[in-house]
Amino acid sequence: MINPQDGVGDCRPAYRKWLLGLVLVHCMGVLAEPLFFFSRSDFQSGPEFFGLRRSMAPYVDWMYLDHGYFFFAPNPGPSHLVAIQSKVPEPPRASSLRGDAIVFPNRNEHWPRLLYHRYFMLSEFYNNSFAPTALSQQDKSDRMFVERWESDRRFYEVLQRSISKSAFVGKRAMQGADGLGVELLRLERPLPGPEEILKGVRRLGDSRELIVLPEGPEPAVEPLGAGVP
Amino acid sequence: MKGFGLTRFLTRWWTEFWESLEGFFFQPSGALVLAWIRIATGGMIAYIHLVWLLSLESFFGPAALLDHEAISMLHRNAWKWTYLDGRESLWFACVHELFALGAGLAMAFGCWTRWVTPLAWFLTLMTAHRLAPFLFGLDQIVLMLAMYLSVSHSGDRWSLDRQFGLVRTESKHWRNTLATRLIQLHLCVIYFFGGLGKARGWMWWDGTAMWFAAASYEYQSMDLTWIGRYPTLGSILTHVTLFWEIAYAALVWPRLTRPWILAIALLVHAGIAIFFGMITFGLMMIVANLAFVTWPEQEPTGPENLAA
Repeated sequence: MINPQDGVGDCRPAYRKWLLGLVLVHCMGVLAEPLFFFSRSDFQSGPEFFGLRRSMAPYVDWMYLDHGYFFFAPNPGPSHLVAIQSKVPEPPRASSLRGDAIVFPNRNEHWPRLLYHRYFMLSEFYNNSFAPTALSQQDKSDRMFVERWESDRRFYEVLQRSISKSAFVGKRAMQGADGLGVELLRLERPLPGPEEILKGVRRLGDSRELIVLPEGPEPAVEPLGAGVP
Repeated sequence: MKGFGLTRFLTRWWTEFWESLEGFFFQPSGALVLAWIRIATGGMIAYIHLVWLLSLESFFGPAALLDHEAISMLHRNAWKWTYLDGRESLWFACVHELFALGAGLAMAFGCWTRWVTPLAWFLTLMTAHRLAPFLFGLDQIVLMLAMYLSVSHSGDRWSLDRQFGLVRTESKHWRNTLATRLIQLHLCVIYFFGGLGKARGWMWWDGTAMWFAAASYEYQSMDLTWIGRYPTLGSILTHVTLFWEIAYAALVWPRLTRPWILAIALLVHAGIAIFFGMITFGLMMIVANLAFVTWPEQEPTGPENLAA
C-alpha cells in the first residue's frame, strides 16, 4: 500500500468504496443507541430508530457503543449511596441507618479516585435497578406492569444477594447478630440550594442529611440525624 | 434537454461529492497527533487495569460484588459476550488484568504498536463487559480512542517501534486520516447528544445546573460552592456549556471557529477534572479533542484539506 517513492500510504481506489460502506455502517452503529434513547417516551420509541437499534444490536452491544451520552443530563440529580449493616432480631418498621453500617462509595476508604468512582457507579446502578417489595393496588391491575415488576424485582434481589455475599462485605465480618445476615439500604443525598450552604445552615458532606429510601411502595422517610461513620 | 441537464448536474454533483468523501477519509496524513493520543490512551488503559487489580477480589471471582448470576441477568437481552463472565477463578482474572495492563503500557510506549493497540482495546473491552455497572464516561472514551487507534499507524511517531527500527520511515498514510476522522465524527456525536440531553432539563435553562453540579458532594473534589455567591456567573457558565456542547458538531470544523470551540472544551474538561473528581475522564476528553488539532507536518496531502 505504501508508495516507496514519495513515502505516502495511499488507499487503493478499489478498496475505497468498500471501506466507505463499512464506515457508513459503523457510523450508523454509533448513532443507533442515542437516537433510540432520545426517541423513547411513555407511548413508544421512534419505530425507525427502534428498528435501527434492534438490527444493529450485536454490533452496538459488543463494540460497547450502547451509550446515550447523558452526562449530567437532563439535570444534575441527587447522589445515591449504599449502606450495608447487620440485621437485627427485631427490626424497626422503617429501615434506619445505624452507626456500624458500612457505606459505599466512601472517599476515605476508596482510593485512588478512580476506585472511588467505580464504587460510586455501582451504588448508582444499584439504586437505578430498584424494584419495590410489593406493588400498590392500582399498579397490580396492569398485567404488563406486573410482569415487568416481577422481572425487575428478581434482578434486584439477585443484586442484593450478590453484594451481601461479596468479599467486600465478608472482609468486614458482617454476618449480623445471631447469623441473621446483612441488609442493604439505599441512601440518597438531596441537593441543597445555594442559600442553605452559603449561610451555613447545611454542610455539603453532612451524613445526617442522607435519606434512607424505602424498599416497599411507601414514600421515603427522612430520618435526619442518622450518622454515618 | 431539460432532463439531460439535470442528469448531467446530478452526475457531476455525485462525482464531486464522492471525491470529497474519499479525500475526507483517505487523503494520507501523518501520525504525530495520533501518537500523542496513543500515548495518553495506552497510559490510561494501564492505569484503569491497575485500579481493577487493586481491589481484584471485589470485582472478580466467586466473592465479587456482582457475581456471574447478576451479570448474566443484566446482559440477558444484550450481546455482551466476554470470556471473563462465568469464570470464577480469581487467578484467571488476575492474569487477564496483568496482560491488559501490560498491553496498555506497550501501547503507550509504542512497542509492537500495530498488534498491541487492538490487543489493549480487546482486553479492556472484555473487562468492560464483565464489569459494566462499574463503568462511566472514562471507559467509553478510552475504548472509543483505542478502537480507532487500532486502525491507524500511530506507532510511526514517538514509539519504541520507531526507535528500534520496526518502523523504518514515517510516511503519511490513509489509515491515520481514517482513524482521525472517525474520532472526530464520534466526538461530534457524543457532544451533540450530550447537549441535547442537557437541553431537556430545566436546570440547564434556568442557569442553576452549575450550582447543583457543584453541590453534589459525591462528585466534588475541590469546593466550587463559592459559585453560589455569583448566580450570574453560574448561569453564564451553565448556558455556555449547553450551547457549546450542542454547537460543537457544527463549529469545530471551520478553521475560524475551531480554536474557540477547542479552547472551551479544554476549560470545560479541565473544570470537570479539577472540581468534579473525574480527573481521568476530564483528561481523556481533552486528549480526544486533540484529534481536531492539525500540525503542519501531519496535514493530509493533496490539493485540499476538507476539514478547512
